[in-house]
Parts: sequence; structure tokens; C-alpha cells
Amino acid sequence: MRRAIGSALALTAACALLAGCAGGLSEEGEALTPEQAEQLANARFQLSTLDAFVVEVSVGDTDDVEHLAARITVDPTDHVAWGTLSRGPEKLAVDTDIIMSPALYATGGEGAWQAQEWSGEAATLPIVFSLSTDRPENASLLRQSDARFLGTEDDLDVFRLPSEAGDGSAMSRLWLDGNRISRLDTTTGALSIEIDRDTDPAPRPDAVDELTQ
Amino acid sequence: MSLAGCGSADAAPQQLVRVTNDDEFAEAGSRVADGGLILIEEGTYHGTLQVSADDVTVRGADRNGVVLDGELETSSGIVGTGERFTVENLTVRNYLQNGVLVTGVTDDSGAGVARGPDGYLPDAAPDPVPGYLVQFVTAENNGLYGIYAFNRTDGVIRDNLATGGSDSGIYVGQCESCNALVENNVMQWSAVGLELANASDVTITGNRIVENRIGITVLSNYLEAHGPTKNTVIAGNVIAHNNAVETPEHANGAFGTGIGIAGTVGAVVTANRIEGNDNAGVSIASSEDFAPADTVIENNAWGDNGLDVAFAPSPTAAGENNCLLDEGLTTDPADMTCDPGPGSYAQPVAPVGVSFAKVPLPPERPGLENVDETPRTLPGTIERPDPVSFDIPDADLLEASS
Repeated sequence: MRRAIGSALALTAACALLAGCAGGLSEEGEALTPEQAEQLANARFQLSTLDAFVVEVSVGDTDDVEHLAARITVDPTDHVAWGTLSRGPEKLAVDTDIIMSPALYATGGEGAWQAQEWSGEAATLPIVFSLSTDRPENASLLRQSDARFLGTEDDLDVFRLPSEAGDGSAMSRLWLDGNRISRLDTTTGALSIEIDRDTDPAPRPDAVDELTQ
Repeated sequence: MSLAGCGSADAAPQQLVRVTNDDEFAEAGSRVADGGLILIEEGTYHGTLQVSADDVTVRGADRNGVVLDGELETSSGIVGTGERFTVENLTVRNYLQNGVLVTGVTDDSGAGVARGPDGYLPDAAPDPVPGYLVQFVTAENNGLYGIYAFNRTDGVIRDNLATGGSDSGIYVGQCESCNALVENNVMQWSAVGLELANASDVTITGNRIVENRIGITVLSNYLEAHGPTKNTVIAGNVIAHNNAVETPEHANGAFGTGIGIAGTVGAVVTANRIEGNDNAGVSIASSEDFAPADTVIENNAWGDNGLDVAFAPSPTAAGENNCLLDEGLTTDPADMTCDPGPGSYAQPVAPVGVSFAKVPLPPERPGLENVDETPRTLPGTIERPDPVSFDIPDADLLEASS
């Protein structure tokens, strides 16, 4: 009986680990027009219509020892993902293969996969599964929420997502190219996810099914 | 008199606007006058028909031959914001949001007025807009709702078929006193057949609500104004076999349930046939901090439900004066009558579903007997029937239409 807007709140909650304030767009933003509410409401469903998509994820300061970067192919139907994870400061990062589901996180590769705990910066990574949903949000309710249109930058429409408290406290932003998601980030700069639509998804490793069954 | 294609949207409003192609479909709402008729000829149309004038009728020439197809790209098929708005005799499918949206919230009202779980500010809610009629519409495979009445009063939704809704086939929401009648519809193959949220004074009668994941939900929440939902009457319906796997998954994992009542006041469930719902015929719970209160369940026909009635509110919103007056039922807590303590029922894990876009299309069904060029004249208010006047329907109610 939960309203469909709840999934947008889930996306906000996943970003809430990461605090702060930055950016050149309007901080307050404007209430959504009906068209903007529909644009925002339909975006994540649009991504779910793809067989798979590629994302670039960056968590934390790029100079920080805890920094994570990942290039992942996401299957929005099966909710599994695979790719490469880089840990550490950008210039010193160590790469490893990664397979993920909402319940699983394994690194290694080539018969040496090891399950890992969701902890630290890595706990943010399952947010890639919240980028898509099997249905649109409710635009009528979204318009009544504290989601706001923050402006246009780089030819992308930027929206602040609704907050759990309804008080405008969300720090997560969705950048849309029409109805298509281009980017999800936080105003802190602590999280950035870019959708790479120019690159074909990587082939699905056999180990994905073995590890996620 | 046909005026189709004879001018731009800047021309004087017309009493009759005939639609024969997508361009005319897109412009029709801006061309129609108060009290006018938009008559859509047979064909398949794409885009959105937006109507803001009052007392407008949108009529398809053939229920099955006039198809509005959103192609999974367009938000809503028909959006009506004027007073006393009618939609009838057409099919609407594959829209991302709603097949037919009748709303009292416009670009000039209502944006950014909710306050989420901290509580809605009713004084900031836009005034409801009165009058609507949606009838003989087939709404199939739409991303949220097939037919959606929001912030409206004095409406009738009847003789429709709603299938393949990823949230619900028909939805009435955000109206302090909706005074709405939902009657003689078929709702199937959706996550929820019919949903009411913060929608008080609604009567649901004579419907066939089968083969969804949950047949009816009546709930209260803080995402819409005017909670809690009060005075719902569910009378004289067939609510059966809501265990359909090949349907969109419910947002909260519901499955196998006939009626879900959550955090509402004064719901009456009477003279219904509630059968074959694998988990529960009727489930009563709280919703956030809204408690279920003054629920009455009596004089229904029951059979082959997992539990007939489950009562499981949260400890902090336990409710009061909830009564089950039917006897000999399987209930949790056992032997439930009036003011029971909470049972232990928990919704079992639901099976994996399918996308709303992949639900099979239903067979064609009959439309209006006469299609003419006379607009409907809707009353200022509607009369809802007295619930004591209903008999329990046969199991095959509206089956020929389903």
C-alpha cells in the first residue's frame, strides 16, 4: 500500500549517508510544474526498459584513502551488476573485479571470488539498483512533495529529490536529459553516478549467476 | 456540424470538436468550449488530451475502436481539470502514468504543499474540483492507474474495465469528502484492483474485482491531504481470487488479499462475495500512525480464503471499535468479533510478477449503445445508494464483461 513516491524516497535515503552543500544551481529551487513532475516521475522507469546499462560511480573524495570508483554494468531486471572496483586515492587506486546484487558483494574474479561485507564507502554501491524501477513514480504526489527543480546545467535538467521528512533536506539530485537519467549525485560532491550511454554493457560473467543464486 | 481541422488553437472555442488524427487530438482540449463535446473517431491516437474547460464530454465513437496509446513514452492519455468532466467509450493503454486522470490540482494550484510524514497542511491544499463521470472506458497496462480521480468531488466511475495497472486499475485519492461512487466496473490483472487513499465518503458497489494481487485497498497516508480515509462503503461486490501471479508486483508486497484496510475510520464491508483469496479475504491494519477504527464487516459471503479476516494493527496505532459480525469464519486472532486484540498475521512473501507493459490485453467489451453529438450534463452533486439496499451478488457478476 506504499505510494510509488516511496521509491524516490529510497533513492534519497541511500544518498543521505553523504552530507554537505555545494554546486552552482539554485539551492532552494522551484516547485515542480506538472510537466516537470512527470519528467522526474518517469525517468527511472525509462532506465528499467534497457536490458543493461553502464554506470561510473565515485564515492568520497578522489584523494581520500577510502575513495571508491566503480565502472559497472547493471542488469535492472535481475538486479545484478558486474564490473571493476577501484579502491583508494585516484592515483594509487587498486582495481578488482566486482559482482553485486542487493544482497551480495563479491570481489576477486577468475574463480577466486570472495564475499565481502557491505561496509564503509562500499555500502553506498547498491544505490545503482535504485536508479531504475519497474514502474513510474506518481507525478501527482511527487509534485506535492518537497522535490524541486534546481535549474538547467550542461543542457541537463536538475532536480532535488524528495526527502523523507518533507522539509527540503534531501541532498540528492537527479540530472535528466529529457526523460533519461544522466547523473545522480549529492550536493556534497561525495557521490556521483554517471550513466554512460555511449558504451555497450560488458558481457555478463558466468560467475554472476553462480554467485547470486 | 463538424468543425474538425478548420482552425488553430487560437480560434474561438467550439461546442463540437471532432478528432480524426493525432494533431487534432493534441489540440482538441484547447479548442473545446465550456459545455462542449470532443468526439474522437475510430482510430489509434498518441499523445495527451488535456482539457481544462468546464462541463466537457470526451467521447469515443467506439469503445474498442478508439484507442489512445501512450506507447510507454507519454505520461497520461486524458487529463481533465475542469468541473463536471466526462470521459466515455474509448480505450486507453500504455501510458506511463495514468490512462484517464481527473484532477483538481493544476499548474496554478497545489504544487509543493505536502509536508510528508511530518503531516500535511490541509489549509494549503487546493480546493477540490466538483463533478466527473468516467464510463465505458477500457484502461489497460498503464504505469500507475488506469482511471485516477485526484482532489475531486462528486464523481462516478462506472461500467469500466481496468487491467494491468502497476499500482491500481482505479484510484480515488485526496478528497476530504469525495462523494464518489465506483460501481459496476471490472478490475483485474493489476497490482491492486481499486485503491482509495485519503478519500472519504466513497461507495464501492456492484464491481467485479478479481485476479489482482490485492482486490481493494483503502488507506490513509501523509503524502496526500485529508487523511484519514473515512466512511468507505464496500457493498455488493465480487472480490475473489486475487492471487494472479502474472501481474505487476505490489509496491508493498501484497498478494492473495481481497480487501486491505489500513488506518481508516468507519469502513463498512457488507453484502460482498469474498472468495478464493489465498492469504486473506479482508486484512485490517494500521498505516503509519493512522489507526483502524469503527470498521464493520457483516452479511458477506465467504469461501476458500486463506484466512477470512486478519486483524494486525501496530501496537502504537491499534485502533478501536472494529467489529466482525459474520460468524463461522477463520480469523486471526481466532474467533474475532468486536474490539479484538491484534493477531499475528504477516503478509507472506509474494511471487515475482511481470511488468505492467506485459500483462495480456483483455477481450473487447460492449460500449455505449448510442453515440451521438450531445454532451453530458452532470449534476452538481451525486447521490450514493444506501448500503443496506444491497444483496450479495452471484459469483458470475459481470463475468461476461471480464
